[in-house]
Amino acid sequence: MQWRPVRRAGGARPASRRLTRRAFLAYCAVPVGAAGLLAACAPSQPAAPAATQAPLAKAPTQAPIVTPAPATAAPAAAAKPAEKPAEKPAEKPAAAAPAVGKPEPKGTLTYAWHTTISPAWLDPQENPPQITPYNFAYALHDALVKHMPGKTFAPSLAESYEIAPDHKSATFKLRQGIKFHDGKPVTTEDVKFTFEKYRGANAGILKEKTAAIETPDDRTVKFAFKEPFLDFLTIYGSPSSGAGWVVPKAYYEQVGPNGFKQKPIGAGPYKFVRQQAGNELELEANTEYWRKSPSVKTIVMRGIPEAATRLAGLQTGELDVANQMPGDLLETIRKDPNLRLVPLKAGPVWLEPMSFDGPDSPLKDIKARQALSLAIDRKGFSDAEMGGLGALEGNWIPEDWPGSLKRDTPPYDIAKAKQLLAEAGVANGFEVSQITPLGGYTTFAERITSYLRAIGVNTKVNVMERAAFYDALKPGPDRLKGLVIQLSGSPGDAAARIRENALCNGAFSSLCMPEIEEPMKKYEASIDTQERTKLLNDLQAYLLDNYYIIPVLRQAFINCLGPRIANKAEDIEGAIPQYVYIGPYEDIELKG
Amino acid sequence: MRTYILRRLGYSMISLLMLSMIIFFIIRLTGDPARLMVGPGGRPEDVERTRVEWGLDRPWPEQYWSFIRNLTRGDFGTSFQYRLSVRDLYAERLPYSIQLATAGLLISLLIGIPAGIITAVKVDTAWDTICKIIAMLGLSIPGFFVGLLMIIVFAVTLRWLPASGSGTPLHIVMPSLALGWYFAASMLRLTRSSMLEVLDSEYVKLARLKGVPEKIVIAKHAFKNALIPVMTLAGINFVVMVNVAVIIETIFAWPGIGRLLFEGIQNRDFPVVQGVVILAGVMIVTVNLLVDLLYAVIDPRIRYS
Repeated sequence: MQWRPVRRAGGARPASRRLTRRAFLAYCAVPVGAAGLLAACAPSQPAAPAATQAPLAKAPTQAPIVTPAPATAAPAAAAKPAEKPAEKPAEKPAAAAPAVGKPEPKGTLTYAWHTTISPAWLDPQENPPQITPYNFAYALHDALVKHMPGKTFAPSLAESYEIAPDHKSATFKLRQGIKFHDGKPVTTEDVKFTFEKYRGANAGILKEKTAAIETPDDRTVKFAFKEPFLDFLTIYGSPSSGAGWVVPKAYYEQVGPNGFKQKPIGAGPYKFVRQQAGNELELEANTEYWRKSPSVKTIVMRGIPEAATRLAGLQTGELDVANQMPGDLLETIRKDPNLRLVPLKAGPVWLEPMSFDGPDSPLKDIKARQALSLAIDRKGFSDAEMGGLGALEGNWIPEDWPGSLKRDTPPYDIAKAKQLLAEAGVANGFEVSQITPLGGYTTFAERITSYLRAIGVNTKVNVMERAAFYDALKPGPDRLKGLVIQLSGSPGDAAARIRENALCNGAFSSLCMPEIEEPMKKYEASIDTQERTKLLNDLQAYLLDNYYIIPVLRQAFINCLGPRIANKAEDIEGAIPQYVYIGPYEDIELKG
Repeated sequence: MRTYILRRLGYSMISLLMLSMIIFFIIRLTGDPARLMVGPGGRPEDVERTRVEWGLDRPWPEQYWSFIRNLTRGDFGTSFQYRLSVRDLYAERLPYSIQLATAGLLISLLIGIPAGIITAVKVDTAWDTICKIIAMLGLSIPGFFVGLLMIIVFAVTLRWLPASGSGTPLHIVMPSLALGWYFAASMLRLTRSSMLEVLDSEYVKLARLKGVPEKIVIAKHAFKNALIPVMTLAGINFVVMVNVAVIIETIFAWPGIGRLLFEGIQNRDFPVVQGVVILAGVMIVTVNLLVDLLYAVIDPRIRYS
């Protein structure tokens, strides 16, 4: 049944001018569809991978990236036969009460995030293998041990800890008088519950290797392992997992995981006040925090996905800190005397030849793969993509990570690349089916493609959404062909990176070779530090010397500080190892 | 009339059912959300556990049936990303979107209708040309460009307005202007064409022959009758502004539904995307139904057969 005008004065409306309801709907479908299409076609959170990058860098002010801070007290990966970390909390030996007579926290710091602020990040129990959630953990929660400025595995909720000489147990002594934000004490039961219920990154390996958790008294927690577990502290006490961030058992059980994400309670320097899911998070100083009472009373974190808007907010004074400023805005920031540019070393970028496009691919020949490396102008890449702030490291494992093999920047030599191609029997170059970058990094692939074209290697860019990209890395009929550009910000050490990128069952691995599997098995079984170091070095050298992994550079994660921040940039940006954000929060001060 | 309403309601339900089916299956074609939820380093067993936990391991028809069953209870599911019920998320964002859409609609009406009338009355004059240029620019300049330009001028340079966010009346000025301009352009074009058609009608000619002053002819006889399609478009525009002002909300960090949808698509947050699209569909279907019914009230010439 249709509606229709019964009578129309002046005769029938000309068809061309008649506006029917259907026409209206069609008209309206255009913006709706366009918006949906735009959203669907938009790069999948291009900022997110950078957000997952983990550097070991000290942050300079208005200067290129500086030499990374050496990690201290790196216990498990370095695997000293016996270890009792000498790190005693310097600030407060045992008591947990803040100093009396300190000025009350004041002022509001507004901190712009480049991504949606996911409530899931407020729950360390589901910590993904990214550095991003640590930003919120450092504010809201506290861990037995955590990285702090100048210190890795610094005791925090634990007053001290000890790794058994045989690496079959780890014992932590809780600091006295520590309380959660709801006033309840932090107990050994909370520590045990947190570990047992933890289901985030590396939960599997932690639980597989742990035989029992004992709480012999109200301040002692002992982790007993089934076998020597040399990597325990590296995983438990670093951004490799979130298992060390203690949550209150009673409250967590009361509200459940989803309830906890909406109103988290922790033992960190800031208390949760409110959130508008995804958009805004407000925190208030916890004046009872054991290390020190924060100086800033309120921190408001806001998700502002558009970088130009973040910059405008800094310029107008609405914002005090902004994460991840892209290369095209750096010149504006440099020219503004009120703003401080803070470039930090982040995750590396590398090229992998993947499956060589079948058995006859020229990439089977090491000379052809070496030619690819020689064709990449790494400095030009850094200048164009990240304002010259990329670090030209020669390993795909950050050189300041435990166990990383330091290598010089691979050379840029077109003539030699062509010569190698001639020696490989493809003097006129060859075709590679495609080059696929991690979702959101299409320009990286386009730039590499143009470098390769200069030596006659032609390919086309294949754009994939991030999750699909990771799926397609796995062996199988749908596995990616041609070349792949990878980036990784998952924190850890050299061994972790090899597990991820070079083993048959690695989460992001395109490789599966006995030359890698066997030494890595030996590494996992060994408790001999020297042997482990040698094995790791040999593995890295093998992968790099055979050009199975071709490092491009290490990205810069560029943050910006507004005029109200009183601290030196290097004290609060990149001060914490393997962490590219602002912190420790309790150290931040505002002017005035 | 009652039969007509019931039948239209039936059609609306069928439309919504089809919409639910389309969005349910299309969003699943984008891939597996479990991998994104677990994170890039997640182990296969964690991915599998997540699938089971969220019911993503079940066959699609089973998932769809469960989705529809929950819909009938007003339950749109729980967001994968936010871990909140979609209904609560939507309710939290809706007031912001309504604020923005209302302001944007007012701006589009205030610009579009007068400009449309002027261009219709003063055809082929300088006024006509200027208004046509405004319309063309409004439709062709991307929203993000207008937004960023406004931020540079009004926030950074003049310091009159905040660059982003929400909470005060000043915060809504730039996003609503940027949003309203685009829709003003379409409003202008429709008002113009509708006015031209009415001005050419017999009753307007008669009014002029009777010596009715031109202002009265335009305001009373022509404009009133040209208003029906314009108001219909305004209603639909409002629904569109509420639900899919993605770019403007992203540029100005406005916490509305458009941004929620955008984030949902990016993160394969199926319940959010399904919920927002279904609710947008409900709004559009409702507005259409109401408009159809109101036609009979506004224009007595219209009857339902």
